[in-house]
Amino acid sequence: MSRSPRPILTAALLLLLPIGLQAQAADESAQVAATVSAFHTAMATGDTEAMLALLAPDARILEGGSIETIEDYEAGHMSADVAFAQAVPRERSDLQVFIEGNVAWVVSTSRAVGTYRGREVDSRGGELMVLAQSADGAWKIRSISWS
Amino acid sequence: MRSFLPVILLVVAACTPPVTESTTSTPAGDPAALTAILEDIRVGWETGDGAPFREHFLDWEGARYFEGGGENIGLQDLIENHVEPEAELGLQLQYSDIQTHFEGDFAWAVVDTDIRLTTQDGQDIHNRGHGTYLFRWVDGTWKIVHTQSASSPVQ
Repeated sequence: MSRSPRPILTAALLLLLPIGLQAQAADESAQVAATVSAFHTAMATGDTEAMLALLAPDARILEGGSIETIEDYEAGHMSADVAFAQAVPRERSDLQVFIEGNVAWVVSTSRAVGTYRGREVDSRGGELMVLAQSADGAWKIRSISWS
Repeated sequence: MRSFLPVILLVVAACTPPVTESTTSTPAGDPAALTAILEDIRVGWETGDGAPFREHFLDWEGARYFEGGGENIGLQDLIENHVEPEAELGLQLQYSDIQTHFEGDFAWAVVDTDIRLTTQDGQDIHNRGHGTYLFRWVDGTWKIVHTQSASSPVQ
């Protein structure tokens, strides 16, 4: 009587599946981080079209004393944020990525040191972004909070 | 080989995150639940009472709470070094325009804030700003996993 390979195969599959899922989770974290980094890069290079393309249509941007829609932001603070980002280099901590189903949130801290409009700048800040995965698998920014 | 399929599907189903569509028709998607928690926290800030924070925050390893350019690491740090000292300055905190968003077992709320206090050297502070609260559905209730807020002086 030959031994059935089923138990061995089953065990192998059970071992391999979690590894595959772990790799998938790491891949998703990398995609989320890449989306956030792409937004940072777009801001620092003044690519406002790229910034807007990374935002979900219902995104909210919170900074200072206001909560803004994309339209508010585009018509208001965005140009000033880009000008500041281009003028003052920002050193950012590693992004911390947390994934909750098809939602992710990312926190980081930063320090901006330089000169802006003739004024010395040395400011620390925190950033929170909430992202959601759209039907096509792309991660979009739903909320940005700067402090 | 046919008998492997149910095993594989079970394992995949068990390890795959739940489908996270909006759950507004369930208690977990009820904006009032988040609003009630935020009111408890608001009162906790004003009174310097850590109890609502301990009740509603998920005190998890690695938790960070941002305000302005600073942060508190962990719930105890938040209560002892932020909540309690600010309450002693006569903090008056108001939340308005609370906007809630639900994605399965995760939710977030953004609020407008109005802050008044008097510093130890007698300076009256009146700021307006915003706050973001992130929630995770844990054991049948919403728990706060992260907060971020910022404000600036009222002109």
